[in-house]
Amino acid sequence: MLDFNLSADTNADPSGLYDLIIIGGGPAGLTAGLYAARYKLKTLMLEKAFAAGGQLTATEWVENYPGFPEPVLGQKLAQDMEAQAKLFGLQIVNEAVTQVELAGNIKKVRTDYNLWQAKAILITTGASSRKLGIRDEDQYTGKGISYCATCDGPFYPDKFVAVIGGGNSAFEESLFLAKYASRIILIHRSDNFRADKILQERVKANPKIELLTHTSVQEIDFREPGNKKLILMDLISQETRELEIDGLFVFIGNVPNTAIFEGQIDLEAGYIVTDRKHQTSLEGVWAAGDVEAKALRQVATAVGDGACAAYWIHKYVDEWEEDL
Amino acid sequence: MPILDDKVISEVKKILGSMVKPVTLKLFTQPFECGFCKETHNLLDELVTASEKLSLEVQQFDQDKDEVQKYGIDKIPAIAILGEKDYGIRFYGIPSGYEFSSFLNAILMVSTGIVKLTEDTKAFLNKLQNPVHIQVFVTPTCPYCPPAVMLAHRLAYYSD
Repeated sequence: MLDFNLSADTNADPSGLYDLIIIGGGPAGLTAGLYAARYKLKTLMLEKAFAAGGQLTATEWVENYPGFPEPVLGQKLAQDMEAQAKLFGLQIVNEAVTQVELAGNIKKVRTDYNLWQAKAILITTGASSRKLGIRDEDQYTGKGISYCATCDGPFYPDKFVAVIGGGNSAFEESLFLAKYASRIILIHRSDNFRADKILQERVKANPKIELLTHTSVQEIDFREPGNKKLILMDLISQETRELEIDGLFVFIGNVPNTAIFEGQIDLEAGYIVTDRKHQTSLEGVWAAGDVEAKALRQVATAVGDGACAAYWIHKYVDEWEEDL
Repeated sequence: MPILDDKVISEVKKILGSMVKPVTLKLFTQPFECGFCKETHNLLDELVTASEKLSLEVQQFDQDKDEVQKYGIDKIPAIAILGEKDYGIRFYGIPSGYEFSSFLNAILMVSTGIVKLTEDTKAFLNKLQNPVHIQVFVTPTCPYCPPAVMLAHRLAYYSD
C-alpha cells in the first residue's frame, strides 16, 4: 500500500503584525495552533522541518495516546494534527528561526528569509536527540550512526545493528529495527531500564534482540565501511572488547532546542521555566511541550500544554495594546 | 482502484491551483512496466487531471533513445519536470510518502518561478564554473529527506 503525504508551504505575508507566532510544529505547537486559530487569532507557525510533527514524525507507532486503541503511526498522527489545525486557518511556513527579539511589546522573529512580527510568541521547539559525545560521532552521523530508526532502519536489511539506551525510545526502536535487521544488540550502562515494562517484555520475547547490560561505548571505529567496530567497556570488570557491527542507533534521551533563546528568558538545565499558565519569565512569551522544564514529556502532555498556553495567549492578545 | 484517493486528489487540486505557467512531466518507463513503473505511470495519469496546466508525456526507455540521452536517464521509472526549459530536475523511483510533497513543490517552483534561497546561496551559485550533478538518496518514510530534495531542486532551478 503506497502512502502519499501532502505538505505545501503557505504563502504568508511577512509585512503584517501577527497575533501569535508559534515557533516549532510538534504536537504542542500544532495543538496551540488549532486552539489559537479557533480563537480567531491571526496565527503563524514557523517550522524548520519540511513536515510538521516534530519528534512524532520519527516515531513509528504511538500506543499511549488516548483515543487510539489500535496503535497509530506517529507520522499519521502528525499529519492529521497538521491538517486539523490548517482546517481552522493556521498558517505554516517552513523557515528556520535564526534569531529572536523577545523583549518589548512587539516581538521579532528572524529567519533566513524574512523578519516576522507578533504580539505574542509561543515556543514549542521541543528537544532533539542527545549524542553520545564520543570521538568521530559527528563524522559518521548518517554513515553508520543514526538517531532515527524510522528514517534509517530500512538501510539495514539482514544486518547486525547495535542500539544504545535504556528508555522507551531505545526499546520501541529496537522492535522496529527487528523488522529489517537480522540481529540487534541493545546496549545499556546498567541493568535498570527506564522503558515501560510492557516494552521490556516485548523486547525480551523477540529472538532477534539481545540485551547487553552494564556496558558503555568507549569509542567507535568506522574508518572501514565494511568493518565497523565499537569499543565496548564492561562497567563491572572494566574490561574492553571490540564488537563488529553494521550500524549504530543511539537513543539516550534528548536535549532542549533553546540555544536561540538563551539570555532572553529563564532556562533550567537548558529547558524553559514556565508558570502554570505556561508563561515564561518574559511577558508575552509562552512555552509548551517538551521544551518546558517539567517531569513528563509525552504527546499526551504536549497537546495539553499547547491547548492551555493558547487559552492564556488569547486572553493576553485580547487585552494587548500597541503602546503599552 | 485509483492510486490517489478522493481526499488526496482534492488537496492536490487546491495546491496546484497556484500554478502559473504550464509544466510537463516526462515519464520514462518501458512497455512491460517494471516494479513501480506501472504505479508511477498511474500516479502521473491521475495527477495531471488535477490541473489543466499540468501535462504528461510518456517515453519508452528501451526505444526512445534520443530522448533518453537528451535527458540523461539511466534508470526507470524516471520523471523529468519541465517548465519553460529543462532545469535538470529528475525523480527516480515513485515519488511516494514524504517525497510526494517534494514532487508537488518541484512542480510549483517550476510553474511559479518562486525559489526560496538566501542571497548568500545565490551569490555562491553565481560563481559556479563547472556543471554540478547533485543526487539525493531518500527513503519515502524519512521526514528529514524532503528538505534536502527541495534544496537540491532550488539550486538546480536557480543555477544555469
